[in-house]
Amino acid sequence: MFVAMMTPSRLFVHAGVVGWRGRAILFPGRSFSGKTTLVAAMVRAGAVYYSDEYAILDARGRVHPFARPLQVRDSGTRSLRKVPLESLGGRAGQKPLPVGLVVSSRYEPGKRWRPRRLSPAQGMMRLLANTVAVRLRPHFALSTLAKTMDKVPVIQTPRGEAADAVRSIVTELENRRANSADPGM
Amino acid sequence: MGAKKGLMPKARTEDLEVQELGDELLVYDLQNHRAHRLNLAAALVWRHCDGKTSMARVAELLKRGFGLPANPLVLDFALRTLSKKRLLSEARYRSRSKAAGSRRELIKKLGLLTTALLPAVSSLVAPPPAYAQSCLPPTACVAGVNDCAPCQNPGGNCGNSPWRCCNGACVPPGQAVQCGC
Repeated sequence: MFVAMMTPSRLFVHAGVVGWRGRAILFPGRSFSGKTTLVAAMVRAGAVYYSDEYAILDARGRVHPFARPLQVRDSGTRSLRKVPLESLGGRAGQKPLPVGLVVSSRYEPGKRWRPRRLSPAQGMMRLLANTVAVRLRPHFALSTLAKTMDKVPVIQTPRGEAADAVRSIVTELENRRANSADPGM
Repeated sequence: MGAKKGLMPKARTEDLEVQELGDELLVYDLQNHRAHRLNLAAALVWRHCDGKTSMARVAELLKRGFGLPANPLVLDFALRTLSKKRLLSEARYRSRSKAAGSRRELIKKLGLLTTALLPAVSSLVAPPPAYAQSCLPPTACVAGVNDCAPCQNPGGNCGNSPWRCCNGACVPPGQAVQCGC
């Protein structure tokens, strides 16, 4: 965390990150919101692993890989165990990516995926609430997040099981890609 | 010094970081580390808080831009909200009309069907670094607190320090609560 606070050219946001067709998908959230589970399910579905803990943003708003082994929480004891990426059949990202989608969700058993699009400012509040050094470097945090979020859709939704969420996210991304002139998206 | 009658009060400018996001605003207060999101109508009102523009003009803009009733209560509500969030230079905005207290009362008084377009400011306290982090793994090493050994007493204190044993690691009290320990 010391590194997260003191690295001057990077902004650390507490979020899971995967890459999908050249864009990063961010899952901001606190502990117990189900980030790692969602990231692992996305990786199993073919996404590129970037991080289950921090979205590391540069001043241009791109996300850099922080591909440590996933830390999965045991449901009973709440203790963490490391899961190697290879055991999920995944691969780790190497290059920084622009952000394509931010998904603000929290695991709630039995809940359906019901996405609601947030305004850019609402979306930025979601990231700000999970930004490590915002108190130390608010100007850098705000300008970096604004660049990161430029024209990026942010959705908020409850979610049930990760596999259902992944299907919905992939459908959302593919629809967006089909309707976009940008080949990267 | 208060604003002149009929004119908008002045917005606070010092110790604020302002980020424009489309027509909305995100304002970060450096004094108390609170971030405020001003929706379209609240942003419009705050942008006109210059001590010069007439309140009637801003009320007209709210009516034209958002279809809000040309009722002084709407602007009054917005200014009270901005004042409460410490976004006006006056320490306390003094209401000039018989104000509707809460948002709910305002909706009732004006007979509005939707609240979405009313001026609104949502806020959050910027997290201290420990809150924007997952619970530490059992390998956490804090010299002088756990002497780099996993702790064995879940929920208990680590030695004589206020840190608590959480997931096998000693963590600050605030983080222990966050981690459910």
